[in-house]
Amino acid sequence: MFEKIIAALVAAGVRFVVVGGVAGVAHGSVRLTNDIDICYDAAADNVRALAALLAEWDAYLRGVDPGLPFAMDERALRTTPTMTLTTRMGNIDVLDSVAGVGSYAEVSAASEPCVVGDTQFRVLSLPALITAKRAAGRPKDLAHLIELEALAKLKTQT
Amino acid sequence: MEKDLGEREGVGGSGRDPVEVARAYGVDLGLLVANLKLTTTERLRLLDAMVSFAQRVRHV
Repeated sequence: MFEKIIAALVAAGVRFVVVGGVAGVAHGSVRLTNDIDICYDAAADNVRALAALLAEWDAYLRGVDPGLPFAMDERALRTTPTMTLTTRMGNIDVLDSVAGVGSYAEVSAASEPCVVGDTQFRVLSLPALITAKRAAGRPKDLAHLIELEALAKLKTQT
Repeated sequence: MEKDLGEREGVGGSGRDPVEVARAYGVDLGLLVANLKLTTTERLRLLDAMVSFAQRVRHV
């Protein structure tokens, strides 16, 4: 599921960085997550490409009753740049910035190349992911933060 | 200028050894060490497999 989503985003030319739980897994986290969080470049051409792909996947607002007049298009992404979505490819959260790190430009600068199968993409670095978790400051993030900080230390030892 | 991200160790930058914090919290460090030996592709495919299992498993 995640591999297909990432490959499709890359194939569509969308500029994005994987953040959140899937980024944690890329760095060695063993925590299960069933959604992928991406931070995207909010430039017009990129919003157009991302919106088109999400529309192709029948994206709809997660946790909202079906049937609302929602259209996944450029306008929706521009007016609501952060959305939690359900799609036929899986759950995707799209963000134009990451708390504690900044806008896409800053997120991209704090990212590193990563590969799954034949697909190369960018993932938020482990230190930046830790910073983001600290900035989010939610109780649910505490356990993840503890694990990520241990991973950062273990990586220096292996 | 590049940001100085996550330079302090410990939960919230407390300075405590993060591995010891994790051990005390109950994190299975053996799982983390084993996971670090996998490639990124292997880790992400393992996650895909776990999510797929979680979506398909049913009580009977």
